[in-house]
Amino acid sequence: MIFNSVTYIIFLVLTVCLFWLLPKRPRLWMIFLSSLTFYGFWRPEFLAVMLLSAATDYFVAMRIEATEVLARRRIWLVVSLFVNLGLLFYFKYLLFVVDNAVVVMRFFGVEVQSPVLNIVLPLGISFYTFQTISYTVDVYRKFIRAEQDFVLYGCFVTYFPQLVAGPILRAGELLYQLDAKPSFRLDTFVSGLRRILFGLFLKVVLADNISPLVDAGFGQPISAMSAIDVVTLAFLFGFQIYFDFAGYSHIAIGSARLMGISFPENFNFPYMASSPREFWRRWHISLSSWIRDYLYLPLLGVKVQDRSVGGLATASQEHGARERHPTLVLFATWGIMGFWHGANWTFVFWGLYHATFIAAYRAISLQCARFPNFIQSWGGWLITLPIVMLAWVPFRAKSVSDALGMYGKLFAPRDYFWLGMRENTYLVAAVLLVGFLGTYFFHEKGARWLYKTPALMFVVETLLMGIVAGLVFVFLRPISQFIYFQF
Amino acid sequence: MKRSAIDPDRDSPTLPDIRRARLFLAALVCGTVTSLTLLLMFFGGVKTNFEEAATFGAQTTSIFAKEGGHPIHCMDSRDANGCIEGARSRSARNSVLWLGNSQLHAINQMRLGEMNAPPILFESLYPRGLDLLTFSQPNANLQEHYVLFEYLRKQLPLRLLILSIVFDDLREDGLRDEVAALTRDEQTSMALSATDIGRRLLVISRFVAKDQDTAGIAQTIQERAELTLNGWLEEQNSLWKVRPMVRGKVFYGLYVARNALFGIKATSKRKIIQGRYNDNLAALAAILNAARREGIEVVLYIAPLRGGMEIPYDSGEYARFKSDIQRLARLHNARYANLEALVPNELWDSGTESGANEVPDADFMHFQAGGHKVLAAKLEQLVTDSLANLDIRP
Repeated sequence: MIFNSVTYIIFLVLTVCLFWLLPKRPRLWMIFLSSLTFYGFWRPEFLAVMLLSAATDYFVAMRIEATEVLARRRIWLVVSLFVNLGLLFYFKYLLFVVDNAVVVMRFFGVEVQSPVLNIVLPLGISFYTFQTISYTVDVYRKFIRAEQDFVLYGCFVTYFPQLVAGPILRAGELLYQLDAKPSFRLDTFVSGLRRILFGLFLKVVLADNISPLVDAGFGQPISAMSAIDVVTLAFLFGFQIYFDFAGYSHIAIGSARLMGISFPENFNFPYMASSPREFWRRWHISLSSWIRDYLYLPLLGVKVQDRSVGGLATASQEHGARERHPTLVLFATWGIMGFWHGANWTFVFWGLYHATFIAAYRAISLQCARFPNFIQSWGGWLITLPIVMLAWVPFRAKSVSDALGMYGKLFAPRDYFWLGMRENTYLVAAVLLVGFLGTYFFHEKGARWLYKTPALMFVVETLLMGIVAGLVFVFLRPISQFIYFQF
Repeated sequence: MKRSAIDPDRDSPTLPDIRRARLFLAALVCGTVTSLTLLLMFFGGVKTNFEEAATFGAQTTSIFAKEGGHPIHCMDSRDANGCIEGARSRSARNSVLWLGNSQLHAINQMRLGEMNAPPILFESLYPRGLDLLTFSQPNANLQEHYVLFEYLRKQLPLRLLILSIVFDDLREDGLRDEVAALTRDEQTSMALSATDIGRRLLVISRFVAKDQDTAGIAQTIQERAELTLNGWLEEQNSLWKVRPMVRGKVFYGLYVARNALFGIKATSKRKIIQGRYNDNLAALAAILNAARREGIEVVLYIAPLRGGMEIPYDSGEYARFKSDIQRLARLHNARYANLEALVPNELWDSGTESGANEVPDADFMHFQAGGHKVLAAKLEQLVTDSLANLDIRP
């Protein structure tokens, strides 16, 4: 089920009502069954894959907890990784591996036919496998106890607000909330409503209406693009994916809040980052925190954390002196991070692009620290924004050669003197950038000042909510999936 | 827990949480109710064609003619069958197809009983054994003409194609849903797949030729649920039903705001968009190539343009455009005619009616009924010349 639909709104109203009406045990069953229903509205046959992944980790975690023998604990951990990553490999990467193997064999003169494989990627598999892996690893690391109650554990894995595209939660963050007796708080409930409305606005009003411009732009031949077009398209897609994914996260967080459950934040004005490293503390925070704790820091050989906040870069600053092969680990992590997004070299390219700029920033960060704060933050922002926006080119391009072709335009001076798209495209990109900056400053300065006076706050809020609710009402339709559903 | 930076529900240093929550809830309810009430007041039951509103001046009227109960002038997949059935019911043996943009269906400052060019030309060709069907859409580009041509030539005994070429339309790109839907026809799809531009259009059509509103949940259980719920809501609530129209109104408002902000008028210069221009020329070449292969005569004409004032194009680019079209026509043995000066200045609009102090915003595309007569007469002559060598009897 996708959030931007009437079906979901009705489903959510029913679920929330039942949540507050039912006692504990029936409530857990209701959450579990409604989450399965939520998932089954897409393709019910793939419920089995999700339940297999969940059941494996349920049993493996109990086996791990049952023994103190390290070798046995490790064997069970490997079983979990084998099943989860095996499912992920089969559904997400097998076609890619086979296609690339065929290309390599043909390169060496071995003529082979590409086998016809019809594999459908189960919705959200990258998210729920990461979530179940983190659960087992946390039990292995003794951060948490293995959950004995399968229904409660099932609720953790399948909880519908975060099932398909995150935020990727740790068992330690969600299980206790699901298990506890919920206490209704009006402020949490109202903030949930507002988050849902705001998330729908980002998705159905902004992201879905930017999408045709991006599709048309990236659909044209590279030869018909100017350098300005490449930059404009990078910015436009950057805004589209941000509104799309941040919109999803807002609705997920808001839906959970209606049931009194708190999720960690997933975005924090990422395009206001003043360095490539800071960007990853602000963008898809739960994924970069996951990568930090289950890949990056273990590879570096330093202490890990157990919270899905903070993002990828935090720990390395504290443990820099003890890190093993930091640059190599950085690039390996980012290659995997890119590959997690999709079985295509374009995503690996995207990951390595980020790794390159993070490594470059590390190399110059001490020199940068000598500048006054104002220059560090605003100068850094001026440099970082185009870097992170242009990173979206390989992410959205059809192939690495297309991405390289687009980047090539940036180095051709003649391509800066003509335009290849409708004038509206540039105008929309400019309006979005100005609007984004305006929202940031309103949020950081204006809102604090306005909301000191209740009457003024009421007027501003009524106006804001009226515009947002009216536009959501008019534009609400499941015209497109969320971009991260394909990962 | 740290709040999201784009989370509007900030901590207020002066209000306790519960009071703030009540204020937020009241604002949410008041804002939503006010917004929906305003929508209901402004949009209850009003129907506007926004595509036309954005294209036409205030004084332009669309006419799609019928003959014997069947349309002879259609737009796209929505009414194409009516035109085809009409041709079949008239036992047409020699069809003429006329493709163009809104210039064909719009009459400026229309008076009662006036006709546009397609029915006039139909009346003059029909007694001579030629059955004319016209298809036109606002801002139709040549890629859309290509899809329509490939679809219609399989359905009709086509002997001649009249193609109106407008500089503005070469700034357009891709396929609107109603034209993309025609690519579902197997023969059309096969014909398109024979050219590079056709294959690109087929890829595009896969994304647009479906029920747009539920495209994100196509072929899922949710699609069925969503369609049922939407159908029910449309029955119960008039405001829900007019949502597509309100969406159009929002975009039209943005369009008007943009024009006001940047001072964009009909006379503002429009530049060539190179990628789109090339794609449209490729589509034109594909049409001409297919027509020649199938023995279909082609008349290409540069559409009439308002004279007496500076044209809204870069003169160099406009000259290049005409030269490119002429070159393609020559290459594919098509008849070329430059009709840009055909319609006299007095047969175009006489400016806005909004007041003497306002600068008239001229319509460069749509002329009065007199202009349609002139155009039909000229095309009749071109058609006659083109078909002189063919054995066509009434």
